[in-house]
Amino acid sequence: MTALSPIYFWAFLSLIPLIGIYFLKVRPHRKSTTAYFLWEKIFQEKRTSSLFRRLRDVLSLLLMLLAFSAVVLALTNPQSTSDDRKDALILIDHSASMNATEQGTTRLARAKDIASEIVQAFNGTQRAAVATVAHDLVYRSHLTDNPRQLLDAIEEVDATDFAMRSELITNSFNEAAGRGDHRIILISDGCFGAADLPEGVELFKVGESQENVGIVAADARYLPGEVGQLAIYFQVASSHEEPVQAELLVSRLDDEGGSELLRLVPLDIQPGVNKSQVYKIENAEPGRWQIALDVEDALRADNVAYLAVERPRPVRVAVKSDDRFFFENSVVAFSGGGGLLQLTDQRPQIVLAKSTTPQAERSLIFQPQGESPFWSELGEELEEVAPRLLIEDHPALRFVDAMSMPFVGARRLKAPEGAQVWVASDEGVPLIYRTTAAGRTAIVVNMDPVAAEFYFSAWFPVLVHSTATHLAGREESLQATYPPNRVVTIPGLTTDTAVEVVDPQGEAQQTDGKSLRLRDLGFYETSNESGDWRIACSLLSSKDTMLDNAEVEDSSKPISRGWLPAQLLTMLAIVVLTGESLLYQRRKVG
Amino acid sequence: MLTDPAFIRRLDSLYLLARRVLGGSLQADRRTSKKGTGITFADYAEYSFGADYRSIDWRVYARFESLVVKLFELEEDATIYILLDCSQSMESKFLYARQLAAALGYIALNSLDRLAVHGMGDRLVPLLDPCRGRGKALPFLRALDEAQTFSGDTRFNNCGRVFQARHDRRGIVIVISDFLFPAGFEEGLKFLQYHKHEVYCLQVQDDNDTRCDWKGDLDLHCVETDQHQRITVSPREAKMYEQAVVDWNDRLQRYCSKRGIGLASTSPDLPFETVIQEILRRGGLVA
Repeated sequence: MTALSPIYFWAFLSLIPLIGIYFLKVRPHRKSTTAYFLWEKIFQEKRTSSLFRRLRDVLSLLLMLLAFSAVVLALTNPQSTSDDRKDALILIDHSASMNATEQGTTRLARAKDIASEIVQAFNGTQRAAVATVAHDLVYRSHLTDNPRQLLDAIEEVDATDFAMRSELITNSFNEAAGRGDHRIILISDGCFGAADLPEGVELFKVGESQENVGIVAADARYLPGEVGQLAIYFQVASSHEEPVQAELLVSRLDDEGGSELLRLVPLDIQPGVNKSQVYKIENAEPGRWQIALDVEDALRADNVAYLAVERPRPVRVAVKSDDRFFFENSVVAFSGGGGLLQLTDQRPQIVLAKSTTPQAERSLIFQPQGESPFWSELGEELEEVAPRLLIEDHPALRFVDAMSMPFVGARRLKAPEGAQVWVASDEGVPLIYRTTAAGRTAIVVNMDPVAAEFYFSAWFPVLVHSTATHLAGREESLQATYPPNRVVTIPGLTTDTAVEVVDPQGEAQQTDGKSLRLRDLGFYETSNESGDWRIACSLLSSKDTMLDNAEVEDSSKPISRGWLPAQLLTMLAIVVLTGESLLYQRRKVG
Repeated sequence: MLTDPAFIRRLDSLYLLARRVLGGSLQADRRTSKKGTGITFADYAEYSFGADYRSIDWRVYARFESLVVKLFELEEDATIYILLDCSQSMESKFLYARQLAAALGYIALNSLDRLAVHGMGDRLVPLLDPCRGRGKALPFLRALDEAQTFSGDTRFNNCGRVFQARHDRRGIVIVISDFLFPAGFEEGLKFLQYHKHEVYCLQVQDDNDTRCDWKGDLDLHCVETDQHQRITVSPREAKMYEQAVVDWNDRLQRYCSKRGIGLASTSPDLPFETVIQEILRRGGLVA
C-alpha cells in the first residue's frame, strides 16, 4: 500500500485539538426533582445500560479519532501496490467482421456491452478514454473518470464496413503499451491477425470462428475488341470446413432500384479462398451491376459485390500543328485497347499544339513562340540545357523520364505567376510547366521537338498521353468496385474543387476536393462536365469473410472493480460519524 | 400574604359556607362515639357498680323493676392537627399548601375547635401550639405566613412518632403534603390511625412532580437531599417516570381507601377555595 499524497499525513495533527475538545467536557443541565427516589428506581432497572453510558464518552472520542483518521488516510489517497488501477484506453473494433451475427446479436453489440461493463466496473474510480479502430483510429471521448461520458461515447459507436488496419494499433500503441503506465484494452474479434498485437495491448476477444462465405474480389470489364461482351471476374472464400453449394446471382440494377437477374451461376465453394472465376455476359449494358451469393450466413455484407460497369470513354484530342503526323500518331497509338484517347476535331477536350497558342480550354503546347498568356519574356535559345526535376513523381510525368529528354531549342521565358513548374533548367528556365490563364489551362513543353528529334523518341507519345489524360483529369481509370475506405479520384475533374456526390443511401454529400473516400457499400454517383460517373464499393476482404479467430487468444487482464481505498475510508468515516451523531443525539435529546 | 385582609375575607367566606353546608354551629356539636355527660340522651345501659346514682332512670325502674342508667352524648371540642409538609419538595407549591392549611385552620378556630399546626421535614417543627378561639386566627395565619421550607428529607414516619409523643390527645390529623416520601407513607399513616386519630390526607402535586419534559444528558438533583446523578433521559425514561408517579399516587389512594383515610388530591392550578368547598360538600374531613 502506498500513499499518493503523503503530505496529508500532517493532517493527523488535527487529532490533537480533537482530543482537547473532548476533554473540554460540557456540563449537563442541572435539573431538580422532588421525586429523586422514583428516578433512582427507574435507573436501577436500567443498570445494564449504565456501563454503556459511562463508556459512551470514551466511545465517542474513539469514534471521532477513527473518523478523523479515516478522513486523513483518504486524503493521502492510498493505493494498493497490487491494484492495477491505471488509466485505460478502451479500443472498440468496429470493422466489417464485427458485424457478424452470433446468437442473434452482432459482435459489435457484444463489444459495446463489454466496454460498458468495463466502464461500470471502473465505477468512476479510474480514468478511461474510448476510441474506435477499423480503417482509422478515432477517439470518441476524452480521458475521463465520468462513467456517463464514457457510456455515451460507447453508445455512439456505429458499425462500419471497413476492413481492420491492424498496423494502426501497432504503430499507435507499440511504444505506449510498452511503457506500462496505462492499459490499452482492445475489444475485438481478432480476425485481423491479432497475434501481431503489441505486447501491452490487452485483447478482449469477442465471438468465435463462424461459418461464412463471401466474395473477396470482383471486377467487371468490357472485353477489348468485343462489342458489349462483359467479363465479370470474382473470387469467393469460405470458412466452412466442408465444401458449400451456393448460387451466384448476377443482376443489373436500374435507376429505380429494381434489378434484372441476368445469370444464376451455381458454385461449389471450397474451404478457404477459392480460385477466381470469370463469367462473360453478352450484350451487357453499362450501369450498376451486382453479384450476390444466395446464402444465409454470419456476415451479410460480403455476400454482395457492387460493380460499376462503364464503356470506355476516350479523351477527345485535336491537333493544331504543322507537324500533324507525329501528333496524330501519338494520339492514335492510345486510341485502341482501352480507348483512352480519341483523335477528333469535334468538341475536343485537349488540343495538341506546336509553336502556337490554341484558343482551347486545355492544351499541350510544344515550342512556345510569339505572344501568349502562358509565357512572357520569351528570349533566345538556351545553349546547353541540363533538366532538373522540380516535382518528383508528378502524375503527368510518372511514365516519362524527363531527365533524359532532349530539351533542344528551349528558350528563355518566364512562366506566369502561379505556374506549376515540373521541370526546369539549371538556370531556372521552365522546361515543362502547367499554367492557367484567362480560364484556360496549358502544359507548356519548352523544346523544339523537330530539332530535338523528340518525335522519334519513345517518350513523345508517352508524354502526349500522360499530359492529355492529366489535363482531362483522367489519369486513373475507374475500377468496377473498390473496397471501403479507398480514396478514389473522381474522373473528369481538372481542378481540386469539392463536388456533390450521392452516396449509397441516396444522400448528397460534398467531397473533399476531387478525392472521394468510400465509406459505405453500394454505389456513389456524381456528374461533371465529362459526364456521369458511378463508383462502386464492396467489402472484398478475405480476413473479414473468413471470420477466423480460432487461434486468437483473449489476453485481457482482470478489471479492478469496486471502491478505491480512499472512497472506502471516506465511507468508513461517514459511518463512524453517523454513529457518533447518534451518540450526540442521545446526549442531547435522549 | 396569608394575613392580607383580602385573603382573610376569602377565609370568612369559606367559613360561612362551612356553616351552611355542615349545618348549625360547629361549636360543641362535633359528635363523637364517646358517651358522656352531655344533655342529649343517647341510650340506656344496665346499672353497674359505681355508676352515678343520678343517672338512674327511676321511671323505668318503676315500670320494669330494672335499674338502668341514662347515657348522654358527650359533646366535646375537637382538636385539629395540621401537619404541613415543609420540605424542599414543597417549595413550588408551598404557598398553595399554606393557603389550604390556612383555610382549614381558620374554619376550625372559628368553630372553636382546638388547632395545632406542625411543619414536617426531616424533623417536626411546631408552627402553632394548640389553641382555640377566633382570637387565635390572626396569630395562626401569621405563623403560617412566616413558615419556611427547610432542608432535609421528609421523614414522615419519624415525624408521626414525634407528633404522637407531643400530642397524646386524639384529634383530626390533616396531612398536607405531596406524599412523595422516599420511605413511604404507609407506616406514618398507620401509626397515626393506631393512636386513634382521624387522619385526612390532602395531597398537593404540581406538574413538576407529575410530568417530565426533560431530554438528553442531565445532572439530576434531589431538592431535599442534594443528591445528584448524571442520567440520560429519553422519551422512554420520561414516560417511565410519569408512570412511576401515577403508580405512587394510586398506591396512596388504595392505601387510604383500604384504611378509611380521607384523601383529596389537588394541584396549585386549582383554586384552594374550590378544594375546600369540595371537601365541605363531601361532608367534611371524613373518609
